[in-house]
Amino acid sequence: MGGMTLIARKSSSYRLLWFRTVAVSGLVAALSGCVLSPLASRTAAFSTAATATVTQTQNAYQLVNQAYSDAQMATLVATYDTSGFDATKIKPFLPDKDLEVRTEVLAGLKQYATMLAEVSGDKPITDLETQAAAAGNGLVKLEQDDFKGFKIDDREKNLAVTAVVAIGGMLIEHERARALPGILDKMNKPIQDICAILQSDIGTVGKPGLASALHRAYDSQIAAQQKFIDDNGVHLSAAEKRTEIEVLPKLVQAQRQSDQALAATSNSLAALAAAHAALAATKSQKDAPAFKLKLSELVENAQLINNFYLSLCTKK
Amino acid sequence: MSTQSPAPPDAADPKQAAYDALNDLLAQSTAAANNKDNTKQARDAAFSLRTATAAQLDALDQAKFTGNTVDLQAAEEAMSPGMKQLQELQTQIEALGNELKEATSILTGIDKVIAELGGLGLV
Repeated sequence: MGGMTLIARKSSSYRLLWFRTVAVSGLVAALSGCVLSPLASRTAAFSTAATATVTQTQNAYQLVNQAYSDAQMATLVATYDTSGFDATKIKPFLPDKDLEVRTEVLAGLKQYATMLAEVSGDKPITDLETQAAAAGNGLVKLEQDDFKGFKIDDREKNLAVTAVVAIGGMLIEHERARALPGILDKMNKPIQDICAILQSDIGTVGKPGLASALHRAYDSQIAAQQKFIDDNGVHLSAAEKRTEIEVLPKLVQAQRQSDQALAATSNSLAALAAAHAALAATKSQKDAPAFKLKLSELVENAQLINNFYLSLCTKK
Repeated sequence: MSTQSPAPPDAADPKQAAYDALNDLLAQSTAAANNKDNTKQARDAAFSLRTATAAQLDALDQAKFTGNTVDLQAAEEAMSPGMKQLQELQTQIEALGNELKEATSILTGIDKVIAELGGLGLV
């Protein structure tokens, strides 16, 4: 009788295991492929590129302020004997309160990009995987320590963990699909406006704006350096004179690179606006070639500017 | 709060004519300052004129920058509703994660019950 009970118990346990295995396998199969929708992938890619553009715009402001400060210094050195030094004339080119607004706006853009990445990326899923795996391991440990007679194999544990992750992934994706399109629509106009204003700040050489100011800051450094050499050339040794003259072509080169850096920053801001518009417009599309094109332009611009700023930093 | 879109980046600037005239003056004064045929005094005077002209141009560039600040603040304010919604979504996803953590605990609990029932010969 006892033998019969043991056989019946084992048979029942096998049935239960079989049922659970089949049920969990079915669930996993049904839910696989739900995690990280095309929109979420695009949003995450956009966020990475946007963060890079924000950093480069901040670099552009620093570059303008630095070049202006260098021009002030060069002019002071060239005119010290005739004009002396007036401490009140030493000011940053970009007024602090206006720069603070840009810093805040760029921080807001960066926060938006970061939050989009956090919400859209795979971190919520990997967090869930970690939690589920820990629970699964605990389950196995529990069986080994307290219920040695009842077997649960690794395959079943893995299926259970996978099922939890798949369910969680589906629920997270459902929340994203419900809310993200509306958020992207709502954010599109402010993003377009911000990028347009920041582009307007920069402008182009020959028109009022930072690009002209930067170009002229180098012109002023060159003019001051020429005056310094003309005024003091007779007092310099040949080696000293050569060193001073060598500064001139370096300034011309730096001016050319800085002009390009600001133009590329402006292009990058335009590309960022276009990429966000494409992201919002393709929110319900599975594949979005228009967005991919805009994103590749944005990434290309970001890399270009990065190289400019890196080269300028190396020469300093 | 302004709801109007800002002017396009390549829009014509009303100060452009004055800006062009100042740039011409800057070019002429720079050339005069560098002209070795001029006397030292004339070159110094030209350099002073150049410095003053550059300062006027700087002021126009700064005015463009500071003039954009109000529009930028308005655009920043317009980001707030979308940012709030994004924050809510983030909170909901975090809450889901916590709920699923509880679900994994329930899974553990269920298996424990099943194991105990199995031990009693009830399943």
